[in-house]
Amino acid sequence: MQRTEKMQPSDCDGPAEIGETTLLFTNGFVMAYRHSLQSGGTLSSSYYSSASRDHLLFIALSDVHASFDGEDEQLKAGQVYTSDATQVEVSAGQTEARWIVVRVNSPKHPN
Amino acid sequence: MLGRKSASTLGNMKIFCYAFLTLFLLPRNEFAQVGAKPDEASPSSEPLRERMLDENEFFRVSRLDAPIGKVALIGSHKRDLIVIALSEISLSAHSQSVTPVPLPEGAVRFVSGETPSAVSSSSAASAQVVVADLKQHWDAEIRECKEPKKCSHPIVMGRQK
Repeated sequence: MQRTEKMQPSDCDGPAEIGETTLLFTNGFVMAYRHSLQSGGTLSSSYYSSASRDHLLFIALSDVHASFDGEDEQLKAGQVYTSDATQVEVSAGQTEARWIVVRVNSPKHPN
Repeated sequence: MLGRKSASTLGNMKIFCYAFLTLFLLPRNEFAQVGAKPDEASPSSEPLRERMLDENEFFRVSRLDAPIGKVALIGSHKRDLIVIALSEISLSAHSQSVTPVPLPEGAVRFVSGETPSAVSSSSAASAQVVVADLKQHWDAEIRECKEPKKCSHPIVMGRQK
């Protein structure tokens, strides 16, 4: 009789990859990233910096659940969300989650 | 008599048809223009649709739907732009006669404010893009991340940075 077990992270030989983050372009002030995350996965990102602040443009390429500084948003594919959140958590549901993040960096104290 | 009856019947039928069209078909048509789903294929006679999504101190974000056969000019404010393709599109520099670059769904491109560009559909569906006008300009050159730089990083289960 064949026995199946749910795979746990500890069963794997190496760290289990559940997604990918790709830097698309930057000039040091504007950065664009593409993210993908397997179904069931969650990615927590911190945009906190003591010297500067990130202004985010989030574009969902698939349906995703996102939390911006604890504020939950269910975003549909193609939906756009702007935020100055420093903590962003994105969860993939039943299918792979894909999204784009554009960051505009500005100094906290221009003087 | 028979001729009059027929004319009267035809008249009644016309009235019925107008009433039917007014009640059922026209409201649907109106809805199709205002709230059509972006995935629905659009006839080429349909106008371009630009919808402002959000605006703050740093971005002005809009969504543009260009039906098949239509070319949508972008970048009229002479600001730097970031174009995000929500469907397969062709992006071309409007001021130069260069071949449009096909971009897959999910592609992101930086477009300099000095180069007005155009977007059109490159598939059997309408071209759908999100355009972010950047309200600030930096002289620093935008560099695309390419090999040999490591641009992609795996997201690993359980790791915290």
